[in-house]
Amino acid sequence: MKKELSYVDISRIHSYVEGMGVEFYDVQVEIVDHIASVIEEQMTIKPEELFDSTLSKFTGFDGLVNEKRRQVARQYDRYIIQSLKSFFSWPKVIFTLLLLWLIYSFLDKADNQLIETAKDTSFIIGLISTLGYSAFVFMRNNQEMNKLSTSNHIAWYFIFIQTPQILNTFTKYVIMYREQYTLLFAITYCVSFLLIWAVIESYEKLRLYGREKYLKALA
Amino acid sequence: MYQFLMYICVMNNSQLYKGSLSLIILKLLEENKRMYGYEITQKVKEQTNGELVINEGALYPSLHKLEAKGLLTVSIEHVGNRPRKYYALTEKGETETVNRLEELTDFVKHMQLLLNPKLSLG
Repeated sequence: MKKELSYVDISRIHSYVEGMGVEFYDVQVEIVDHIASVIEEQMTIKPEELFDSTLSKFTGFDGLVNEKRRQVARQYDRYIIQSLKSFFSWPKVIFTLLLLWLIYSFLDKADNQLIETAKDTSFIIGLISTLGYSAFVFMRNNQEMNKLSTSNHIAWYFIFIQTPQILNTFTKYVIMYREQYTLLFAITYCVSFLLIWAVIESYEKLRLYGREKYLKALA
Repeated sequence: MYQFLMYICVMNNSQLYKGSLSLIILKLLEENKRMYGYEITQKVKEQTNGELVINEGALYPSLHKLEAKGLLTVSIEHVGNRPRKYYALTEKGETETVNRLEELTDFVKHMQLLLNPKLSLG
C-alpha cells in the first residue's frame, strides 16, 4: 500500500524548497508535490531510504524559477498584444477613432498657450497616477502571504513609471512642429495612451489569472 | 542527484526526443484529460518501458511554456496533505495537438521514404 506523507513532512519539504530560493508559491506547489510523490514512492519501494537523504538529493531549482519568470513574461506580452488588438477591432475601435479625432482636433485648433497648459497639467496628473498606481501595486503585493510569479512580473514597470516624463518631453517638440505633423503626433499620443492602458490591463489580468488559479483554489 | 537540470534522459540520448517533449505532453493530456507533473514523468517511463525518462528540470519549464502560450490550463486540488497542480488542454491546445500530430505523421512518412525508399515502395 502506498504511504502518504504527513502534513509535517509536507511542511518540511515546503521549507526546504523555499530555502533553496524558490520564492513563488505557484512554483513551490508543484515542486513540493513532485518531491513528495518521489519520497512516497521511495517509501513504498525502498522503506529503508530516509526522508532527509531523499529530500537532500533535490537541488538546483534556479533554472526552473528563471524559466518560469520567462514564461510569465511571455504570457504578459501575449495579453498586451491581445489588449492592443482589441482597440482596433469592433466595438473598441470606435473608442480608438474617437480618441484619435479628439487629440487631432485639439492639436489642430488649440493655441500654443493652451497646449502648454495641457502639457503641464497632464504631466502632474500622469505623475501622480503612475506613482499612485505603483504604490498601490507594491502595497497590494506586500500584503499577500503567498508570492505569485504572476503578481510579481514588473518588466514594464521602469518604462511605465517614466511615461509622464517621456510624454512631457515629447510635447515640447509637438508644440514646435505640430502644424506640419498634426496627424502623426495625434497617432503617437493615441497609441501611447492605448499602450499604457494595455500595460495596466494586462498586468491586472495576469494577476487575476494567478490569484484565481492558485490562491482562490486554496482558500 | 535529482538535479533540476534541463534535459530528458533517453537511453540513446537522441536529440529527436528532446525536441518532442511538448508534443509528448500534449498527446498525454489529450489521452488522459488532466495530469500532474509527476504523473506525466511516470506515464512516459511506463509507456516506453523505461527507455525515456523525463527529467523534472525539462518537464516543468515545458509545462509552463505551454501554459503561457494558452495551450494548457491549470487547476489546483488538495490531495492528501498537499495541494496538487493539474494540467489540462485548452480548446486552443486541443487544436494544436491535432495539428502537431499531423505534422509529425507527415514528417515520419517522409523520413521513411527518404531513409528506406525500397521498403516504402514495397
